[in-house]
Amino acid sequence: MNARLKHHHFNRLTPFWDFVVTTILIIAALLTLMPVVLVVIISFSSADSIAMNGYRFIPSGWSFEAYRAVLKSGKQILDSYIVTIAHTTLGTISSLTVMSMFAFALSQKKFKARRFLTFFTFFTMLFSGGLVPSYIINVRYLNLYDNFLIYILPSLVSAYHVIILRTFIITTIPDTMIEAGKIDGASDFTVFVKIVLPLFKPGLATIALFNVVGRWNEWFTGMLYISNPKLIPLQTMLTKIQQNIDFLKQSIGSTVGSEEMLEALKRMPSDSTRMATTIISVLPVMLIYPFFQRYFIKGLTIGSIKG
Amino acid sequence: MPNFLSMAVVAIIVFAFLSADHGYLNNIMETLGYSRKNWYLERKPWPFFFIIINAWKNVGFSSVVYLASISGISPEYYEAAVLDGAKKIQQAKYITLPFLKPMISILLIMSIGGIFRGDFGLFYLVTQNNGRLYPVSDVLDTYIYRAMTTLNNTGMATAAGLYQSVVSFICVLIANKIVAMIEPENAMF
Repeated sequence: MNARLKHHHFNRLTPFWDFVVTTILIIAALLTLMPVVLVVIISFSSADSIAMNGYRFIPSGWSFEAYRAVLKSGKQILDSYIVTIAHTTLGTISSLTVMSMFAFALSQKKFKARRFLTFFTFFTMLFSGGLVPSYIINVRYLNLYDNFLIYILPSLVSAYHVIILRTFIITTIPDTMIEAGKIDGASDFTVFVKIVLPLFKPGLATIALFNVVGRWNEWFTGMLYISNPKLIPLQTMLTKIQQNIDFLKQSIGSTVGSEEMLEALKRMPSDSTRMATTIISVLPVMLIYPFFQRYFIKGLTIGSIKG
Repeated sequence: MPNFLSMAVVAIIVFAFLSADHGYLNNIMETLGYSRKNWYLERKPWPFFFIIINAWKNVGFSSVVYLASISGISPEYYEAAVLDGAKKIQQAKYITLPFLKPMISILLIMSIGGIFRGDFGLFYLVTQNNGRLYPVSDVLDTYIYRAMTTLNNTGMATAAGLYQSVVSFICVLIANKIVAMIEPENAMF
């Protein structure tokens, strides 16, 4: 009897149901994975195979041609990679700096404007002016069209993230610690850097990851505010080559234009290149995501606690 | 897992399936003896496509979120239930669901607020902004975007945007009120 009450045993499924549930979940997982696998395979399929049989899970011929073509003529891809990386790192760092300080201010009870500012922040989560007013402000008044700062400034503070950070400070960092620091004569800023930040790391890590993935995947800003190909991020580039694979070729043709390269471009297998570009652009996120997924979930559970 | 893929990538994945020339779906159709179709011109199946794509992208993540809150429930409750002879379904109904209530209510309020916001990426990129599909794919967000960029109808776009904000805001307030009436402590504000 006692053995049955051991932690893992008391609530076991019968072997039959265990098998059924596991099978269903495995099938669901495979179905989820399948589309991504298909894209990977297409990127490695030879052009002949695609022309003859269409996209297949088992192509009649394999080739690295697409990746070679991308590497050889990847001026646009390189530019976009740089833009995306710059957007992700600079954006995340600046946003974390501003948001964590803001969240700290909002978490302090003696801060007078606290209630008003919290409401002010929260309100933007529920109500916004919409696309057109933000476009007009960004373009006419802030002059951000075709400007790298468009990636940084408008997305500097996310109301949702500030609320999560504030809740995190309130629930995990005891007031007494902050007061103790004050009594020792530390200024607010010293308290923030010396006491709050070290305890704050898990919360920051979560928000940093939200930011990194969100910014890496951002394509709308690039589509709306950017026309200079040198400033187009990866994801926007993907939407462009999705509509028109020639986008890659055009920009190369105009910037380099050597005979050999144009020849290479003509032979560029457009279908598999499109898929290869996709794979190259999601690879970094794909590699880091599984390791950091738990932080995401932590962030969501923190966010759901009211403060 | 597909949650970290951007809609730009999802659009390309969908294209691998639906493309008229080489698409995987058309391959299957052909082997089964049906004729090939240009899926990007067919209106009828798109509502299903949207649902499938959205589910594919989001179900995994949502279940992980719920899993996180379920694993926060102390196993002792289940242990006690088993001792009292409760079946699996009863455990789910009387232990798991009540513990998930706060999470479910917050997600519910948020998604009700989102009713008037479409997933712009899903409806714009995945359909390749195809005019033939507008009757089934045009949501407020894509309309606003189009009114602003291609139709040059800024006034209309602004009005539609404001309307969207106001209505969503009212929806959130109502949903929150209803949740507050049933279970005051689960309301968002």
